[in-house]
Formats: sequence, structure tokens, C-alpha cells
Amino acid sequence: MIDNSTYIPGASNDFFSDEAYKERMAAYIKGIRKYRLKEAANVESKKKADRIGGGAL
Amino acid sequence: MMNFEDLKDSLTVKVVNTENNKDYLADKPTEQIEDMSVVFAAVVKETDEGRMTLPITNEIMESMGVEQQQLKEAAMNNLAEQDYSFKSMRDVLVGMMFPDGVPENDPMVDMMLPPEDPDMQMYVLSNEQNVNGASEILNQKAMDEIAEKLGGDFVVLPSSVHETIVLPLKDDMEPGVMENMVQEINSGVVSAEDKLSDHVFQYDSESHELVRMDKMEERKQEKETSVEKSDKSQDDRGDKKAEVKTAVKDEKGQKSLKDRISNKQEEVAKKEATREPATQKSKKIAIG
Repeated sequence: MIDNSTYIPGASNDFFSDEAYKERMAAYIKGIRKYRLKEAANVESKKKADRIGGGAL
Repeated sequence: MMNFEDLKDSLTVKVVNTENNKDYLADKPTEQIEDMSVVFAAVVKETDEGRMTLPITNEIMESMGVEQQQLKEAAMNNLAEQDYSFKSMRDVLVGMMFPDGVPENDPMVDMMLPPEDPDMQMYVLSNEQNVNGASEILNQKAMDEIAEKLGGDFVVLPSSVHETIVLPLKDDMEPGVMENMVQEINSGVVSAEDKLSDHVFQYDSESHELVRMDKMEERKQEKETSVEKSDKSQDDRGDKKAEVKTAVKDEKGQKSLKDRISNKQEEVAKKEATREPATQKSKKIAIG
């Protein structure tokens, strides 16, 4: 962490928060996983529909 | 009074969410990208854990006697010169959570880390300090190198002002569904000051631009229409050129016809002058 001994009016200290970062990454891992599963399910149901459609012909 | 020459090498950019930073942005020169704002700041102090920055206000800009464009150019040059960090999310998290190595046969590990499946690769783009690293989306050099590495266009998820998440583009990606995911995460786990954007972006590696993913289709259609229009206008120009050529040719043709008539008239006049006077009868016949 930057020491606050240097005071400059209007300046701000920006730092990296490990915890907030991990939380965001975990949320995105979960989100992407869910998205891919949904995507895979959509592909599967489309294949199924195509097979049924193909059988009717 | 601040001197631009002294400050320009320390200038950097920050990208923040516009809506959540209205008061902060009010007295600063900014650039707008969808729901995000770009602000300029001078890095005062930097360590491994963070950095102290002085945001450039309108007052500071005026006191330095410079235009916003000069600030932007200096900040962008600095951004291009600095190292960026582009790593697989799995590698980043393994480094943070399991510095001594990933435990084997632990089901929790799979839950905590992104899958190793190459089709589901997730990358984290930031700067070396991971502080305000979302600004790397403005780093043309970084974006082009990522496009090269991932083989073309890629998707940018605005996870926070400190970093963005990059995914290789797949044909069947649904911008609406992904945007919902981003918005849910923003409202669930991202603090108001860290929130970057509610939109999903796509880097267009051909035009070297970051575009909202849901606008890509519209943009492609616009491009196609403009190409068609340009082709049509080229065709029209081609037709016009052909018309002009024909007109010139016709004119030439007319000229040669005129010349021929004029030559003929001269010949006739010469013959008339050298011919012996004709009889009245023959004249009559000739007239008749």
C-alpha cells in the first residue's frame, strides 16, 4: 500500500484488492460455465429437433 | 502552475463507469465510450501494490495551456510503451490461490478454477499492477497482439475498472445472454466504484475498434451496405466515364464528319472553279 505521507490535494490512492478480484473472477467462472452449459443444451435440443424433423420427412 | 512538459511522461488514462461517477467526472476532461468515460491522470507514485494518481481536471488542463487532444496523445503514447498483462485466468488464479501447486483430486479445485478445455479459455487483461488496468482496452498495440494470439476478433467482458476478461470469439455466442450475465455479476459482486460497464464488447480486428457486441451485426450490415453503395457509385462513375468517352468519341466523329464535309465542299468549290461554263440546259438539269 502506498504510504500517505505524500499529500497531494485531489490525488487518490488506487490499490489492488485480492478479495474483490477473486470474487469477480469466481462470479465470471460460474457465469461462463452456466452460459456454456446453456449453449451446449441449446445445441443438443437443436440436434434433437433436427433429428425429429428429419424422421418426419 | 503546472507545466505540461514536466507532466506529460507521467500521464495515464483511467476508464470508469459514467453513471456511477457523475460527480467525479463533472470537472474533468473526458472521452465517452458507450457507458464508460476515459479520464486522464498523472501518476504521482507507484509501488507493487498500487499507485497514487492525480486526476487532470479542467482547471489543471487550462493552467497548463493545453488541449484535451494533447493530453490524450501523451497518455496514449505512455500506455503503448508500458507493459500490459494478458494471462490465462486459470494461471492467474492458480498463482493466487495455490502458489505451492494445485492439489490433485480435489473437487473444489475444479469449481474454483476455469476449466482447462481450450474451447472455454478465459483470459485476464490488465496492466502490470492490476490497478485501473481496464484502460488496456484503449491500448491498440495490446489489442492487436491479443487478436493475433487468439486468431481474430475477441470478446471483452468488462469485469471491473481494474481488469477485463477476454474470451476467444465463437460464432454462436449470444450477446444478449452474455450481457445479462455481466449485468447480474455487476449488481451482485462488483462495487459501484469498481463497476466498468453493463455491456459486452467485441474487438474488431479488421477495423481495430472496440465495438459493443450487440451492435456488431448492425455494424456489419452497415458496412456491407456502404460497400454495395461504394461499388454502385464506382459502377455509376464507370458508366459516366463510358458516357464521357462516348461523347468525346462522338465529338471526334462529328469533327471528322465536319472535316469530311468541309473537305468535300472545298473539292466541289475547286471543281466548280476549274470547270468550263455549263450550257443552260445542263444547268437546268443540274438544278432540277
